[in-house]
Amino acid sequence: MTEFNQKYKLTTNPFRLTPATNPKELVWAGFEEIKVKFERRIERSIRIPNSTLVLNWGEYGSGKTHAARYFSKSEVLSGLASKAQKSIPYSMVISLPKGKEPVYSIYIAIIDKLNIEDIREKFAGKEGDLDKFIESIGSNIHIQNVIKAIFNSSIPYLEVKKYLYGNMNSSEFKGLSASGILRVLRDDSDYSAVIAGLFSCLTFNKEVFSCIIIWIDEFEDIAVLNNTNIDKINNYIREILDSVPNNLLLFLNLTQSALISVEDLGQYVYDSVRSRIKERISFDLPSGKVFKDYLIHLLSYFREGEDENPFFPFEENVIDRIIREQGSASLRQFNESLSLLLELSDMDEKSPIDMNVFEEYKEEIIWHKD
Amino acid sequence: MIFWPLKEWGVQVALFEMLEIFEFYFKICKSTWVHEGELVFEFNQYFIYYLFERTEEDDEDLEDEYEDDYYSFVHIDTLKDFEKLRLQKINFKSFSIRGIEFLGDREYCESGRSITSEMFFCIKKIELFQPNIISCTLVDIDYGDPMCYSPGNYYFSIEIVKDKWWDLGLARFLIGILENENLNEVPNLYTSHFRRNKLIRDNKKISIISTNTKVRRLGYFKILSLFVGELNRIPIYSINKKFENFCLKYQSLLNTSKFKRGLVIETKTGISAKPYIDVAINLGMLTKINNLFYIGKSFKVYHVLQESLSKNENIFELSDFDKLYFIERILKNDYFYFSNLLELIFLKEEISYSQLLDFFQVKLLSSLDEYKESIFNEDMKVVREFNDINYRISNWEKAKVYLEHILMPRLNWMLDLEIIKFAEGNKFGLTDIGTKFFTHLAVWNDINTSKVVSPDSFIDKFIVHLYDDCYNGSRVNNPNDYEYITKSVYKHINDSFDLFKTLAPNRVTVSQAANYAKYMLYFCDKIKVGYDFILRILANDENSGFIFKYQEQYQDGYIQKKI
Repeated sequence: MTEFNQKYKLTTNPFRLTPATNPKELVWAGFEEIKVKFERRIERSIRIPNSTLVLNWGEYGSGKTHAARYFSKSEVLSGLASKAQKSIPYSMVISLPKGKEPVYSIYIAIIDKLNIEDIREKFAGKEGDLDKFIESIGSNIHIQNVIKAIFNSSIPYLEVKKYLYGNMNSSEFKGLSASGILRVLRDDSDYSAVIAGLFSCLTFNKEVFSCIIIWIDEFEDIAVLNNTNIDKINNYIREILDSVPNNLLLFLNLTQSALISVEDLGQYVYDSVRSRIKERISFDLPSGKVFKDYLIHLLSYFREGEDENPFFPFEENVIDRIIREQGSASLRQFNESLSLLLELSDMDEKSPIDMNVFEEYKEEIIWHKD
Repeated sequence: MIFWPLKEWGVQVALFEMLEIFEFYFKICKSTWVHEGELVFEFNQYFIYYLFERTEEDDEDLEDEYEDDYYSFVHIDTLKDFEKLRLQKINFKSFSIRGIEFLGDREYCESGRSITSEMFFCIKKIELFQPNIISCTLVDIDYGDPMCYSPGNYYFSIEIVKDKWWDLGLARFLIGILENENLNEVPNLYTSHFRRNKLIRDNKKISIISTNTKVRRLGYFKILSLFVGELNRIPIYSINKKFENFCLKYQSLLNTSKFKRGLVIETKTGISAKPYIDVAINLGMLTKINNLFYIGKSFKVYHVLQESLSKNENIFELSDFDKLYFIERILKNDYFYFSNLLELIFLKEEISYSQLLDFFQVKLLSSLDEYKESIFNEDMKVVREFNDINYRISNWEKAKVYLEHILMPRLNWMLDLEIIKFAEGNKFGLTDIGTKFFTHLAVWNDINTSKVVSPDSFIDKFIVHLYDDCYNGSRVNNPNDYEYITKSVYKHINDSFDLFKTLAPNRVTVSQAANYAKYMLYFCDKIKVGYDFILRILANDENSGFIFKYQEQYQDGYIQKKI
């Protein structure tokens, strides 16, 4: 059996059905327009101080999660930062929590990703200015002390993490009283205040981090939350944008879906949040041309050796045919078809993939879930 | 005259009557035969059926040739042939009139045939001739011998009570009805669907809305559209009172309109407007998200078009657009009660409110039985739902009090929609519009050869055509230029992007855009197409300039402009 890479001049099957998690495998192919939109939006947040809320709309499988992961890659972010001659953004992707306490879940997701040791290292020498800055944030002394403790290298970082998780026993807790931390974090307003303070400090003077980028993925799941939690999520977003007026870029990923009784998921976003939206980015279903550009670009990332046909191992008329057969389909559906076609051809040792090969597998690769 | 050796005088009389009837039918029918215990007289598309059994005594001395003939057709060519039947040894089991359509002929038919409305027509005539002589009715398909494939005979059967089996007066009357061949014409728009002979989707989900007797004027929903347009979103705790206050300025208008019941008056808590709000929620006009009411998906389309298509001096009068919209909403959400009430009024020709109170519960239960029979117990979930509803209706406490809350609103909506009118003696009767309307619903059953339970797909295909036929005598004729029609569709879809903006960029909800286009096409461009047609061209035309995405699970989707 001929090796896959020899037969198809590709390092591996490039068609992923779900976005890659390994940063090395995360590549951006085609869709230049949308890429530029994100780059410009992030660059703007790197340069200017204002906090921003952006809504990303798209069909399931249109690349929203992929965009979130791609633009959280440190190389991509450092590229954008150096272009703006500023420090790198602090970025993270979290999924909309579906549990009973969504605000607490978001808080935990952020704390989980918080590397206190690393942060302290990066802020070494700036503690004095930072403490003064912290004292200027709000009037809640307890929260100010908690934030100071995060950046204070004299308190063991694991102790701080334990405290933030709320896992400290009473004797451990006593150790923090000298730092002015006299009670545990209790409710949503505490969690929001800690996160807001933390974000403000991390982007202090845009020195260490130029801005915070948070992607809330699967925001469409707001439709399955109960009334109280729909309230809580909306209020949380409003609150965090209000209490972090600077250097926060918040992306909400939503699907296009219509629902039985409402026009779209936008109806779950309250006016208080709507009014804070600065931009709406749409992941449109690709046209034939856009898809072919994407394909050429994608195959070139995984190309081993050379071939004059940029679509190799596929013949161009096969690609045109798939585009025609699929109609208006998401990128995932196209990827699915091509992935299956490649795998089936590989098993039967067929290369290049021409119309005869396509016709043979057509029934298996072109199908619609709905 | 034929004579048999008779033992008793009574039997002789009975036989004499039988023969008189058979002779009467025989002389005017096309053919007569006996087959598998059925004596059948054929009159073009109608048949008289006598079902019988031979007595045991007769079985024993029956000649072999007759025993063999049980499964074959024995034609009766002369009156003498009745002799061979040995009528004195026969037990007749039933007598019925049947209308039969051979389904194998559908694809070649010149126009559809409505077995259901023919049956209703016959029932109505018979009831008027002599009430309470029908023992049961049935619409079904007879596939004949299971060993031989047949497309089947779709038929109705009206069984007559035993007392009237040998009544020559009734026989004459029946022939009078059956000889009138054009019992009911099926509107042309359905012909292609009969020819196609494919079932239209019916998910068998019974739709019912709960109503309070006070919700009598559809005009209040027009006011509701103005109300939600003004306030955009309304807290659930205060909507009743706010809407009530909003309605007060229309009080005097109701007093000057044709039908005056259903007035919303001022109360402390908004209780007078509450029943209207509850029904509006049931009809999908209002949507609740968290603690706020928003305008519902379909009602937004109504709201957008209200200013241009609903211009009446008195808001309680309904324009063509109002009527079409409300009919659609009511049929989609309340088909079970609404269609059964319509059926009952049709059958009784004229019926008083107190008679409706007496008959409606029984009518609903018999309809449920028909539903159950039509699905052959295949889908247990559906059967369970039918049983649940059956249980609930059978166990209504103080049924007549409860029925007032069901009947009064619907009767008044029918008055508003000009489907029924007041007849003499405080009775209700169908208008010409109502009779046509009823025929359309009957034809829907025939397209599917079973009683429609959930008419959503029929509404999506036919509602504009139904409306045009019932209210305007099919006045609108579509242009022959198909391209012109599609261009008009795209123009309205394009316009809808400005009218139904949502938070998402470059996106409009399918149901809103397509319904908007449907109303604009009919009322402004004089083109009648169904919602379903618009969806089909959007889905299939690659050059439409739109991306069309339909999500089956939500029965909706979205449209984007190709950029």
